[in-house]
Amino acid sequence: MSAIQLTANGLALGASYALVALGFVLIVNATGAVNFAQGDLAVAGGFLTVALAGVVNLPGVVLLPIAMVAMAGFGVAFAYLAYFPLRHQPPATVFISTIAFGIVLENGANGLFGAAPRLGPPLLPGGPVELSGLILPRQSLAIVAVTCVLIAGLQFVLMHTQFGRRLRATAQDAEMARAVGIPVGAMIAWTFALAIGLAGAAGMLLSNQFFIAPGDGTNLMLKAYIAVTIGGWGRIWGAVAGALIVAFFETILAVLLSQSAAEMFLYLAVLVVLGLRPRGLLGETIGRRA
Amino acid sequence: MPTAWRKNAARAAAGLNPLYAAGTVFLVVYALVFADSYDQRILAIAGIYALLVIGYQLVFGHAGAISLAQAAFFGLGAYVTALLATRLGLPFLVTFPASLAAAAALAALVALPVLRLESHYFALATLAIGQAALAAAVNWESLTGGGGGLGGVPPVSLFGFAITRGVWLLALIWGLVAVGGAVAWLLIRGPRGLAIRAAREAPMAAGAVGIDAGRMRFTLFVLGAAYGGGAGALHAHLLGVVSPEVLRLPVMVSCLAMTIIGGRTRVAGAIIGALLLVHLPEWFRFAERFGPLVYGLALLATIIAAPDGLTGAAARLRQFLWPGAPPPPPEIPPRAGSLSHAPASTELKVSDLSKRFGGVAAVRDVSFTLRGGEILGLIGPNGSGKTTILNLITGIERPDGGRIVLNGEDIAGWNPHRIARRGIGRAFQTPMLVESMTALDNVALANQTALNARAYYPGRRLADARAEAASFLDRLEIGSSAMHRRVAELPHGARRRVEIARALAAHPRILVLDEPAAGLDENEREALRSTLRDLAAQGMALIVIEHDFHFLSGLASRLICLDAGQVIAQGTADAVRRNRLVVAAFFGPTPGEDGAP
Amino acid sequence: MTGALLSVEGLVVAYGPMPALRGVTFSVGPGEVSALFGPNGAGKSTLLKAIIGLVPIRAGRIRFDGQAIEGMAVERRVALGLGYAPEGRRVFAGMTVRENLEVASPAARPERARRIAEIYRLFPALGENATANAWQLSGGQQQMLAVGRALIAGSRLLLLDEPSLGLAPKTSRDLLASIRSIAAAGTSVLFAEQKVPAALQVADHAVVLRAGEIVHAGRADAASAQTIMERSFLGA
Repeated sequence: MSAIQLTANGLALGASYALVALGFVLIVNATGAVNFAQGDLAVAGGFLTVALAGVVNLPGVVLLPIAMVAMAGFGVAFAYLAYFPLRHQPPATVFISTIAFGIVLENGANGLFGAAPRLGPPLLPGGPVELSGLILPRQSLAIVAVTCVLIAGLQFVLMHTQFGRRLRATAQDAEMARAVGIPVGAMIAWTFALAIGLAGAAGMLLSNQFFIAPGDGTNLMLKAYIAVTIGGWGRIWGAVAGALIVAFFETILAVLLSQSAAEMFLYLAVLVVLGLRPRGLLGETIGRRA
Repeated sequence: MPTAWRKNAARAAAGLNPLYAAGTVFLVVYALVFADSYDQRILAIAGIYALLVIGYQLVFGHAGAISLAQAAFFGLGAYVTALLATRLGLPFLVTFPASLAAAAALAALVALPVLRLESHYFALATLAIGQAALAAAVNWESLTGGGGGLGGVPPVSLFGFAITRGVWLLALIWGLVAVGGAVAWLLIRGPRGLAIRAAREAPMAAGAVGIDAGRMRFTLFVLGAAYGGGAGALHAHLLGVVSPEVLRLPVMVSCLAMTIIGGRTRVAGAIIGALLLVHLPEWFRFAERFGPLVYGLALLATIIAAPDGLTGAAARLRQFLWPGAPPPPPEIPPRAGSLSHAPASTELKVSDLSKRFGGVAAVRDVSFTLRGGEILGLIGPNGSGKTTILNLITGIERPDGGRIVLNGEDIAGWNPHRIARRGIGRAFQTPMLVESMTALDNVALANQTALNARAYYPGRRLADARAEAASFLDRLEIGSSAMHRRVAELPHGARRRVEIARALAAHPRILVLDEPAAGLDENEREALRSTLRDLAAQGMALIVIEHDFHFLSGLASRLICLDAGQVIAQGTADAVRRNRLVVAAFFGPTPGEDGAP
Repeated sequence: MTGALLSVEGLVVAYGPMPALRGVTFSVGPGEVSALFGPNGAGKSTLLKAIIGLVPIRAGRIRFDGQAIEGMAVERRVALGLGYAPEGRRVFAGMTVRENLEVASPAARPERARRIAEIYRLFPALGENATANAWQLSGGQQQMLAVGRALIAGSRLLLLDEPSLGLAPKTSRDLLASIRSIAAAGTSVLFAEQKVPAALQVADHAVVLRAGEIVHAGRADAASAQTIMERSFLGA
């Protein structure tokens, strides 16, 4: 594999991990709940686009927003099934309910599509791009570009709209947010919509580049979980950085050794990191209360 | 004492849920009469999972730690048995204990760095252990056989008799479940059970009565791993092969699901969860490839409908079917005994105590001496460092400088439970109670004598601890009906008194109270004042933080007033109250007025 | 009392970890400033939380502008014009000063900007640090921000829990003085406070809570300072 291809692969993988991890962070911040189904939700998004591509003949870039909106709606349903009934229970209970929901999703996909990996629609039709003599894989570039657009969009919504400010205020101090008149329940439902919309996008992007199978959710979730922990629990840019670190670690070691050796070293590295820095490589949220 | 045994056995039998008794009979009849050899095999697998889950309950249910490493211990046990049996030809009586020990040893090894991690970091670290073990099993082909695994594991052989199938196999596996269940049940019964619950649900309060929550977590984690190792060993024997499948996440997810569906803390829950989830796929065969989907839905539905599992639901159903009388109130010994047996020889010497938070000096060079029989009042505006001083004395914070000498021993920087065991009791500003327990058990859990006595039956020790707790509560005016209510349902004033009773139940020589009168009405205040006065008269030393001067005057032998972490006045209540610095510290300067109260 | 903006009748908060209120009755008139005194644990914070709706009540009525609000969700109470600044400020630390104010505003953009400009006029230090993160502010500025945020959320009755807590004397005086300007602009204020003489300089009425009951209520003037201190502090 050439260095360029390797970089492109690592970036594309990292971009998809980042989208899963971002959704994960949004939910953790807003509710304190660890959503173990985030990976399976991404896979569900991937299968949704596989199904859509089978019905209508549209390019991936057009299917993407459709899938995201559908998954966002599904995210609200997810919140009402797996989170809201248990919001006054200890956090472990929500954690388990999301695991259960993940099992439902995985086996639902397995029942509907079978266990074999499927190929999703490409974002843009066509072969590799040639740029000043370099051959670049078109899909990888498209994935990275789309991810950048989505992250920038998320950043804009969170930082520059009243809606985003309300989401952030809810995440920082839900009781205080309530006390200044913010409808906290609705904000949490929106958070789930946003987070799972992003997971849907990740699933679609992965489905073309790396194929997608019903059992992939767990692995995706683990990688996102690691990314978020390494990047400093609850930090958006930390999650993106963590996702890239995990993806490159994995891509490079898989080439040098083997896929399963890469996995082993990744998890050993996580243990070492947690042993040395119990709050993650890039630290915990700063200034929660000054 | 055979009569005592019979009485205890009778009491245990009376406590048995009739639903479980019926279920057990049904299962035994099914296993012996109706089950064919395939059904018996499924039952054997369920027994193996029951052992795994009983161990997991110790970690997840009792220690309250979401560990995702239980499958790793299961897999390790399986590989150890397979290797020792196939490569060295060792018998079951050697390989089985070795599997237990290997899992426990791995747990003890990882526990030190991992157990100090907080919730989600802990979950990830344990997950990483499992995934690393899986990858190692796949990669280390020379030892583990790689993806194909190790075959040819012989069946269990005891005294030259190979147990391959049928009733004998069930008897072996379910016999081990019974032994394992009994060990876990004895471990979590009695005063130790209360202490474990307190350490899980209110760790700070547990430390304040001398419970070492860290050691408890460690013990439960290691013991739980040993159960996992044992279950893995049996699994290897039953299947005859060990492959990396035993380390994959589905094993962990099944274990977690069984715990949730059965119930997190009851041994019966582990058995029910394992039986149900092992059989569920069999029952949903007809759904073909959607079978596992039904499994997931059942899990989700159970969590939402019965977050405390089927055993929790069964307990409620039993209450509904046979609404028994509430537990009889324990006999309350006469009031004659004194609340405190603290020796008057107590001496606490605090010198030059200092603590900084970031750039702010919360406590600066505070010194005082306290003797048995004295009540020291600590006053000062909010943020003046009063609570920090109590936190330093009780070990919740470590001082940056200075000494805290209790009867000649410097206890500065010790852990809270050690300090509590030396005789310093504490009541917090907002009462810290184990909300899900009754008032009686909240007090009984502080009884260290009952916790540490090894001599006799845990149920009896619990009864003793409760009887003593009842006498403390009674003298703090908590009636016998309130004693049996969960503390979450009690009003604020009663909660405060429960907390003071808990502190007294640990038999402290020094009692520190953080705003004990806050939120109490006039009558409650008067009663509290007279209780505190009695305690001091019996030789106890007290430190009381309070904002209400009226409460302290006539009670405290001495007052210390703090402002910005420093002592600004000390002396009798009257002298301090007239001190201008004190008035200004509380109310701010009085503009244009000379007169101070 | 007719014409009261806020009237609380027989308010009881009883169970759970909150200090109790045992039948509290009082009222705050339009444009009035009332100070709430009493030792820690007397129920001051519980009373303010019960009025904004963060604590469930067991019995009693809370009327705002004639309307019973005790069963309403917090958001609806805020929409009616109640603003609340808790003890310990609790500003949204990771957001800027301006964002803290914007997020609390129910109004559309031009009106929002106008209201924020008013807050900046009241507390110039906030305007000067508009783009700073809230955690970077000094204690006094954070308290101003908490008050400003409450004022933007609900501008008819402001509930402040110990606004001068932990502030330097000068800052604390300035902050209490700003309560007068807020009232002059038509907002009623109910604030809990320990610093009796300073609070009496800005309050019209004084209410003293002790052990969950009102033990003194009356006009706030320098002459009553002695009585109030004794009632709240000494329990005489």
